[in-house]
Amino acid sequence: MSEKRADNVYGKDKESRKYTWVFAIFLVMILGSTSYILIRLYGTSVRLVEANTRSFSQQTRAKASVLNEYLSWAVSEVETLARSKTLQTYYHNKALGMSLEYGLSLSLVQMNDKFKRYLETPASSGLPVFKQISFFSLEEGRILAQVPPRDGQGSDPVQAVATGENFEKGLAFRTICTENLCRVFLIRSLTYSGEQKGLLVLELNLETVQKKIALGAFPRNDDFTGLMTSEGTLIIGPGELLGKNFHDIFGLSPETLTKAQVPRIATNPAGTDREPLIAGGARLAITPLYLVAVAPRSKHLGRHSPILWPLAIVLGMGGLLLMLAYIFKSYTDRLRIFLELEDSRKHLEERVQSRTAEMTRANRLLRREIGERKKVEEALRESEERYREFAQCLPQIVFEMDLEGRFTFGNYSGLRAFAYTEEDFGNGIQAADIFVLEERERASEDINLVLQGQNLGGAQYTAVRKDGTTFPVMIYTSPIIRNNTVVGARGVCVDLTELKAAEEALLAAHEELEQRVKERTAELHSAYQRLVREVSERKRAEITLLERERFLSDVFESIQDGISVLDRDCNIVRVNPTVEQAFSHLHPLIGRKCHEIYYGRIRKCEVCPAKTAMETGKSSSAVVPKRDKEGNAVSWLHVFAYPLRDKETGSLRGVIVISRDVTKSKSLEEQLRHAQKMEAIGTLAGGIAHDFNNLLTIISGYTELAIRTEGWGDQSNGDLRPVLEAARRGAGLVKQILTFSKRVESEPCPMDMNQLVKQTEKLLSKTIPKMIKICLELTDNLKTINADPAQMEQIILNLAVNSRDAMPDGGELLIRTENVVLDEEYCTVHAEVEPGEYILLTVSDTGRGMETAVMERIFEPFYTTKPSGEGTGLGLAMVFGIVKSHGGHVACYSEPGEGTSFKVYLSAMKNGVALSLPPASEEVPPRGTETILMADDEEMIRGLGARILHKAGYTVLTASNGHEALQVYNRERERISLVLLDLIMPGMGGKQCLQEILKIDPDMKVILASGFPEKTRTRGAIGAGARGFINKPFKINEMLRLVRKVLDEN
Amino acid sequence: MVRRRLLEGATVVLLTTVAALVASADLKEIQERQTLRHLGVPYANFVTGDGDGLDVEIIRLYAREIGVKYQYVKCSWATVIEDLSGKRVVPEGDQIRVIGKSPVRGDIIGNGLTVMAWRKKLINFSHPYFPTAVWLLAGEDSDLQPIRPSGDMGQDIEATRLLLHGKQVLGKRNTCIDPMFYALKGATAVYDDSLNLNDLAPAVIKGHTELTILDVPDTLVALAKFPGKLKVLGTVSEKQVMAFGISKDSPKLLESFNRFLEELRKSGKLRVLIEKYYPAIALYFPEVRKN
Repeated sequence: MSEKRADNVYGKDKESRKYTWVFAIFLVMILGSTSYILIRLYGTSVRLVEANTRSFSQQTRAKASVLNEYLSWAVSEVETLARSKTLQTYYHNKALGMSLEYGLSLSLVQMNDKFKRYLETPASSGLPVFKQISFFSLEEGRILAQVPPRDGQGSDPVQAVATGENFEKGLAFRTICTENLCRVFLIRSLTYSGEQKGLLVLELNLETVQKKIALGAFPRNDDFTGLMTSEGTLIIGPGELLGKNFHDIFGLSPETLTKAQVPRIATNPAGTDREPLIAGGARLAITPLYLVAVAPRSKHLGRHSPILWPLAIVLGMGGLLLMLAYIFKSYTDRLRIFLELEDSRKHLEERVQSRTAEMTRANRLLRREIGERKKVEEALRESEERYREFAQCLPQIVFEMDLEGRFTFGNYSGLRAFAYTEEDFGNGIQAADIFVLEERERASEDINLVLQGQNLGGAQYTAVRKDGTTFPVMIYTSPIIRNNTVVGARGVCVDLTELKAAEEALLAAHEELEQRVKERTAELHSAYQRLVREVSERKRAEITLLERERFLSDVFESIQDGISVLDRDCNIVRVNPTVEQAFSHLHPLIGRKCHEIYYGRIRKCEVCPAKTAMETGKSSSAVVPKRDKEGNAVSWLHVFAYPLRDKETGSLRGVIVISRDVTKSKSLEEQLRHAQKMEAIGTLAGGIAHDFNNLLTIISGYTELAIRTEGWGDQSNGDLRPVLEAARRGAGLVKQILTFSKRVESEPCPMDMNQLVKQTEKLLSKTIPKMIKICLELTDNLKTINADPAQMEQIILNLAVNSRDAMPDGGELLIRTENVVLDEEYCTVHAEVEPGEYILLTVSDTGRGMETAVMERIFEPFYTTKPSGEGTGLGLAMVFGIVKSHGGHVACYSEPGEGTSFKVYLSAMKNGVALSLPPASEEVPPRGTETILMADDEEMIRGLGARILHKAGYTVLTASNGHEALQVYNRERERISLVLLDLIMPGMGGKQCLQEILKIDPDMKVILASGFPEKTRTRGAIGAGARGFINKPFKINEMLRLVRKVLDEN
Repeated sequence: MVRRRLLEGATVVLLTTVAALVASADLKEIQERQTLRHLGVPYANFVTGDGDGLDVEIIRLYAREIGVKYQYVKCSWATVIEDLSGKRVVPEGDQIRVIGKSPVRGDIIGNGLTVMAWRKKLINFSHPYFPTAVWLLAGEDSDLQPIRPSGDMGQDIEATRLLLHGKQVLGKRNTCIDPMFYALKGATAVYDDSLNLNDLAPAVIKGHTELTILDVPDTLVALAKFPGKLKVLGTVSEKQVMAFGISKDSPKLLESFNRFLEELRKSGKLRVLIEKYYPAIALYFPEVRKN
């Protein structure tokens, strides 16, 4: 029984041992698999942490990139604004010298408008890029334009920023931080003409920047992204950290942040009880600013499970202890079994039941442990799944490969890019196979280098998709190192297709641009050549034009006639210097109406050459008066108006008015007209006087004969004497008329006018009332003149008598002599005067003077202002005639109430010596007995002459004309001693008759007689052979003396 | 008898028509007519010619105020005064010489009309609403240098006049920019009747003449329109004022319009309108901000 029981126990022990080993092996397998899972879970966790670390860095850089782009755009906006025309206009206007008070402020207003428009232009976020824009003038040292204007007191931070330092060309960033407020200014130096003139200060709108970088609030939301300066000052970030130094808070400097490949663990400012932080950063390329990102480590890198490792240890230790306990228990059980072998028989079933219960508890415990372990595995799997999904979501291609160079992981971006499926990856794709054949060797080498522990950054390949198509990629690969051993590689692949396409497009555009530049350059060169030619031609044309214009201008200004150019409204557009000088008192002339200037009218003239030319389009001319300020006509202008037409259209543009001063010629015309009138009057008067003279000759001749015949003492003689006296007075008048008409023969001789004036003054003093004072002003060394003294005396007497009559209440009579020289200028306005030396005889009075109308007629014969019967009107006419017959000139100057002055100019002799005239002879007329032939067409004169000669003892033969005289002469020439011929006779005149007689007898003595004692005619007669000349009416003594004289000549 | 009555009736009708043509309408007649006729010359930003402008808006508001329609009557500078006064005149300095009659074409002038002595003899002016002055302008290439402001307008005027010796100044006859009104000794006034006021600045820029004078609002418009092409040399006048012209036969209209203008000023709308069309004017005449 005992043996049986022992055999049973032994058999049971053997069986129990067998189950124990099975259980131990099973337990070891469970422990091993659990350890393996834990180890793999640890590895995955480590890889995920690394991937998340890189992802955090990439996110930071991505945000920095976005911000860089935004700030680049902002800077470009600043550049655009700095180069805007508005700012340039301000400086241009300032360079022109304009002041703020006069015009320049407008530029500032426009500048403010420009700033306002910039501020109102939002960024893509909808917020404005800039918060404030200011223009700071370095010259003025102050802000001149600012939008919005600073609100509040105290110093303007913009002013402080602008004046704090010397900004060179380009852009500068400056930051000002106060309590919980930081401001960032972009400062752009402004230059004009190469000199720095001002600053453009733009305050960056940090709210917009904050939106761009997706700022979180720290620490409530656990992480934040912000900006800091190169000095580490935080300018964007949580409010409580603004203005503080990042390094002081987190223990990291900007350089440390940016140089590190992975985020650094930063000190948690909240204290040690907070979980650790990580921080990343990147410099914003175009600014001195840094982007920083701070986050709790657990959020991005994952949280280690607090029970994972303790559980693993507990499980391990537990398993080991359990196994030891089980072995010990098995041993003790076996011993106990062995010891209880004896009792086994008794208590075997109880022990088996007890043993079964213990096993059941152990199994329950084991199941609970396995359940907890599965939960840990699930947590690890979820964590891995989260990071895997995160990797899958990345836009870049993320991959992993093993040491064989096969892909072990590729995210969705990679699968899409290469057109592979997950199954393809599962089948194991060699990394080198995704590249084109030509590059696989290089790729393999690069992969080997990475698997040897080196980083591969930025290698470019041409990748092959599953469908065989290729595309360019850029690959960044790093080895996966576990326990200092490379276990694989991980990397990022960037599809460069778009970049390449952009590059190619850029290249193509560049080439096209270059081509276009070349073509354009060629065109420009060609155009430049054409332009040079055109410029040269234009310059030549301009020079020609300038020369022509200068020539025309010279011509225009050199013409002494006045030239005015009028527009269609009669506005004066241009005048030459002659017009400017002539109307200098009316300056300015340009722009004013021609009728205002030239005619002193407000309205257009009714008759005007310019108006006529304007209306008819044809030339027109007229002589018009030129008026002074008071409107008096001071001179005369001959105005010619020519229409000015547009060469191209032919339309009337205006009128050219040429005005010539014709005052002198008009004066000369007036003088000529007056002279012609005087000549006509003289001729008329002379003709009448001739006939009248013949009558007087008869009257006075016969009267004198009657007196001589009857004797002077007879009563009848007393009756005849008034007749004779009247006849003589009539003869005197006739002589005056003849003198005026220059038909009186003067007998000029060198004479001294002073001597004559002195002699005449004696005569005048007896005839002029004492209440008139006679004054003489005689120039010493007065030049000698060649004149008839009697006629000169007549001039003085006539003028003196006129003066006397002009001064009924007394006054002063002044007779002055002086030497004068009449120049060309004087002679141009006095037609009949020759330039040269003259003596001037002036007879002036202080009488009542004359009106102009009277003065114009005073030299006309028979014109008088005296009452009827008191004047003959021949005195001044005689003066005129005498002066003219002496080649002189007489002028009268008089104004009512101002007296009158006559000026007589007589030509001076060059070397003449004055002679004294012998007194007139009073001897008895000689008589004779010779035979004289007398011819005259007037029967009574003929009879008178015959009676005079007969009374003197001569025998007289008569003839009524030249023919008859010639017949008588031929018949009686033997006894004719002298022939007396009237010069003017009908039929054969005296001169022709003389010639005929001289043909017959060249020695025949002939005397010519005439009532026209014209000098030339007389001289002509004497030149023709006459021995003498006698004036009619005959004066008996004079006639007899001449006859006797001629008869007595040999 | 019938013929005589017809003749009398015709005479009455004729006289009524002539009176309507010759005399300006007072407020009552305008309200009866239901139309306010605005006489205006297109000039600067007062009357732009596009249906708006500072003066256009003010008169439109006034027409709405008195409950009548607004009607714009385009005029020229040569006739705008006679279009309101019904008299043809020739200005002679501060005096005028009446040379005839002309038809009345409107009720109120509004085109930046400067208050001048000779104009006062023909029409009434409303309360002034716009300050101005007359400035001397040259092209950017001119050798003349702008004066340095002294702070005293009288001295500035003298300094400006010194620049003008021997120069020609383009102006517009019988307007506020007629050089003859500013005693520019030694300078020659040049006119070109073919040019409008808005054409003077372009004439200087094109080099047709070296100098011109413009009032301040027109200068501001020209400077904005031709940036950098013109330079202001100085001022030739003391400060002037612009106002609306109203016929001497319309005292009620004048009184009503002045009351409206004061209300516009008190409400601040006048300042808003002025700065709308002349945003820079307050820089030169700060009193505008008081409107």
